[in-house]
Amino acid sequence: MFLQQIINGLIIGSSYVLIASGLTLIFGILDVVNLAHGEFYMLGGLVSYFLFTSLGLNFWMALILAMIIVGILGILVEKLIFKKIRFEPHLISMIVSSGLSLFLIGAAELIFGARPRSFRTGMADTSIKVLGVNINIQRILVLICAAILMYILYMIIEKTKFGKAMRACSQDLNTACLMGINIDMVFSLTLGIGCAMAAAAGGLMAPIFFVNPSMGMVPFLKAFTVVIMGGLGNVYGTIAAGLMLGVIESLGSAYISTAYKDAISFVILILILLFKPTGLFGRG
Amino acid sequence: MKKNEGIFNKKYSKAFFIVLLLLAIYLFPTFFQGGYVLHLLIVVFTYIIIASALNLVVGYMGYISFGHAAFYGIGAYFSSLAMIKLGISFWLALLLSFVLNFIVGLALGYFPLSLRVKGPYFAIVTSAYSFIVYSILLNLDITRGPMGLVGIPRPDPLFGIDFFTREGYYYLTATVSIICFVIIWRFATSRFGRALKAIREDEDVAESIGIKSNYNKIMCFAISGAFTGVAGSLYAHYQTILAPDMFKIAESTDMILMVVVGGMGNLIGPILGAGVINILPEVLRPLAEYRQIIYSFVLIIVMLYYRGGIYGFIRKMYKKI
Repeated sequence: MFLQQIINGLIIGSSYVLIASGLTLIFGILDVVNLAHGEFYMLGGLVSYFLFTSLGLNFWMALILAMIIVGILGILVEKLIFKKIRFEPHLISMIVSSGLSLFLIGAAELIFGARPRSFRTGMADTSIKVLGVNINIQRILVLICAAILMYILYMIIEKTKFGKAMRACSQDLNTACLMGINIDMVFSLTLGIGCAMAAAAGGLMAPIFFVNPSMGMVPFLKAFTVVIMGGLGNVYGTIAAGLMLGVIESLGSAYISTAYKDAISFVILILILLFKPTGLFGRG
Repeated sequence: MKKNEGIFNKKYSKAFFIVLLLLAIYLFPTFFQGGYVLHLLIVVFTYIIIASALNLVVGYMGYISFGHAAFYGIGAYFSSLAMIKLGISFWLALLLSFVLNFIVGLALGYFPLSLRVKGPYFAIVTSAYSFIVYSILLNLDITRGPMGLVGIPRPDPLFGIDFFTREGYYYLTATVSIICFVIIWRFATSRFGRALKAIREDEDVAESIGIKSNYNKIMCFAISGAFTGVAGSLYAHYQTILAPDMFKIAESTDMILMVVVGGMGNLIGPILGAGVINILPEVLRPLAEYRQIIYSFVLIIVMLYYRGGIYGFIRKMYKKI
């Protein structure tokens, strides 16, 4: 039973890692507080649901296509909205992004309807037994895909030229400009990648929970907690923190109470902010 | 002398304008009998209190708080339960609501603000507060969870006004709203208000010239919360029914919307914002399902291009004329 909870925790935690990694990249590189990030998670879930059910695409195609679509949306958002308020205080980007969040939720409600839908992929019906614990295929896929995506992200950041540009921007923006790095492109693509990661999380988690326009709000707050725990801009810390939070939450909901499950994360958030605001693992 | 005459004229016209406004507010129900319009005005006056209070934190202090729905909810439930279960009078309940929310504001504000939690972190912490209060309201026995409370009493008649009628409650709400507004106005134009503005501009410099930033910040948050709680109580007794659903984080976002769209950092802005945000949906009835999209779109446009809100926009136009 205990092991079951740990595994569940790791699974949920890996979805948090995906969302949080996007968030920490965006905050670390663009210095923008994107309160609408949860809505990209939601769009990922909704778009892949739609592609799967209406167009009959297979789950993987739907997921990848959803990631691409939401990623492009992220790029557009950066060019149209965040570019106009670049370098302004955080207050401004917070208000703007909360407006964006409401806009996306409202648009989703209009297009998809506010009614929660369930995303049946047929994979949820098979389970495998590992170490005496029953795991649902659909759930373990979250963990595996998250690991693959994070690895891809790692490769992009550490091994590509673009990744180098990203790292340069997060270290010293002015010098990066002087070195000839195209800030516009880095910013837009970073937001795009961040949103794509969130969309992936949404698409992976959608079959497990219901799909509805407000599904992004609570995961966003959890992801923010993870970002703070891991240290702003610190992608590796985010990975560790995300998994930790998932496990703590899972154990907490099993042994303390399920009603206040979400509140556990927020209490952790408040505690971290009060006592170790630079995160458990330091900034990136 | 000419100078004296000038001052005399200005003071005279200001007082005249205020008297005119008060007359308009209080004589309104006798000329317009529409119950629906009165309902709208009651709602607007309630939100004027909230928007003005929130403006202290957002516009004057420069911190975004998504936590005011928590105060709104605590105020609403507290005064309702106090009247129902303890049988105390409405006025006492209102006063206690103010005090309770002030203390809650002190408690909730103490840790984040004294530990220099700022900007986005403060926004998230306060939205966590809203969420936690919402969870508590949903799960506690005494608040009857999702079923909410019914039969919340109105105050007993005072000065011959029957508060069980919409008209009567309108007078009550307008009066409380005006009183709250005046108090907030006094705070905002005092040394306290200037200290807040200094903190908003640059907290460290403010500290260096002797402004105790922790004290001022926590006070501001607590006062803002206290007034929001009073508004919550007013609202609860008007509706006579309550449900936790009215106090989710989305409510906080609506409040922020009012302050930002109306114009932050000044006293007229929140009034305009409260008015516009509450009246517009009625005017745009046919577009009701697009309400959220329209509002959020307006918010984004305002922040990108019209930073000063409606008030700022009007001022700019006025200067051009």
